[in-house]
Amino acid sequence: MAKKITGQIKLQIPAGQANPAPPVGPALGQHGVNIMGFCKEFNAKTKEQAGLVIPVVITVYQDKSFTFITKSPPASILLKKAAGITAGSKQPNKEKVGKVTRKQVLEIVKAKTKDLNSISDEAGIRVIAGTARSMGIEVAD
Amino acid sequence: MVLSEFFKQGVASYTHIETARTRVSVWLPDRRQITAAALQDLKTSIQTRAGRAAKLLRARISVSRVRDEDWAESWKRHFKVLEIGSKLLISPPWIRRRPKPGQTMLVLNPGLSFGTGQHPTTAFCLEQIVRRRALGSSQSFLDIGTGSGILALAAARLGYGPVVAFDFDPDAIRCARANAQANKLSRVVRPVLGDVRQLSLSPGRRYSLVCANLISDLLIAKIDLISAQVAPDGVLVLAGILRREFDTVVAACEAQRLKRVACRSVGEWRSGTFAWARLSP
Repeated sequence: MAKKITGQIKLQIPAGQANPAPPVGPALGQHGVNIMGFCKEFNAKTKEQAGLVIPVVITVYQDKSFTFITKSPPASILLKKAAGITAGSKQPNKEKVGKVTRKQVLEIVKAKTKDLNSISDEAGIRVIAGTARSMGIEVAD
Repeated sequence: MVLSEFFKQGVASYTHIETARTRVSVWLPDRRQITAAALQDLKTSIQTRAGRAAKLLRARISVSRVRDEDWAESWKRHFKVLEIGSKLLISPPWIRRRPKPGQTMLVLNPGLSFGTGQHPTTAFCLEQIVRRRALGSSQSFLDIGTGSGILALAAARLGYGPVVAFDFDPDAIRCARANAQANKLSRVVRPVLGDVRQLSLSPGRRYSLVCANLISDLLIAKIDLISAQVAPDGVLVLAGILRREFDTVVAACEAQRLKRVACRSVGEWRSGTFAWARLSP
């Protein structure tokens, strides 16, 4: 069928726990996306990843039909988990709130391989280390 | 990330494809969370995180009140009952509307696959299916790229048979089969996985009506295979064509000896119906 995209909705939803409450309901409802249809499909697709937050990109077509893809958990969440903290720093350049090892960063790179556009592990480490710095997390060797 | 960490709430972003403008939204249960000081802190936080990019993006923060509602039902207001001529009524399952005398009804749950009937290209195909139905006669139907199955199901309801439908997307097949089942048409319409590129130039069966609501590039590239499916007295409905591309599609059809017998433009879309040109004696 002819498909013309009108827009893309991006959300981060706990695996297997999509429901019509905000942010999912209002974000999808205002564009005419079948909310329960999406929740059912998303939960079925992510039920094996319980405990992780899954970024999802929903493509909305002109006739209000949709498709979606799930991505690997955000680097910020994996970094917080690795550093054992609940939030990043409000002043990352001055106040450091946690520490991760290079090995932990490499594990995050491996977990995000399909969504990182870096050409090597080393380049991936630099990307993730940059995110860590912006959150006030130090990367130790 | 800044918004979700700042308010400890889930956020959503929407990017409009044509304007490339993105809106990031967070829904807060209590208005008192949004104070002037909180907004100032948020601005500072965004600037710290994004550096120069925040200025480049000219990000603007706005606050509006959203009425609490049954979100699970909120999307349904975008869909209405569709009447195609006087013969066909397409309704979402939550609207209870009886068809008029002489009208046949199809229930379609809008969702994961393209083809809700709300798009001008689908609407044109539906109109042609209604208009080309000759009551009392046997007419076969082929739906190339069935999506939600809407065209095949409408054809089956109107009495076309046999009805054949395929799509290359497994999700579309799942959706089309569910819609066939919901309309008690599973025995008549069995959508299958298939690709237009695999059609035969000398098929075992040719169809009275062939609908191909695809994209122009594919229609042009595979017009020989598509037109080979059309019976000698049959017609071909082509949709999914942008206005600027329509002439190229017509030229491709004419090269196959198919002449245009109907067309319609709605917005940026143009759809057409083609029949075999009669050879001069």
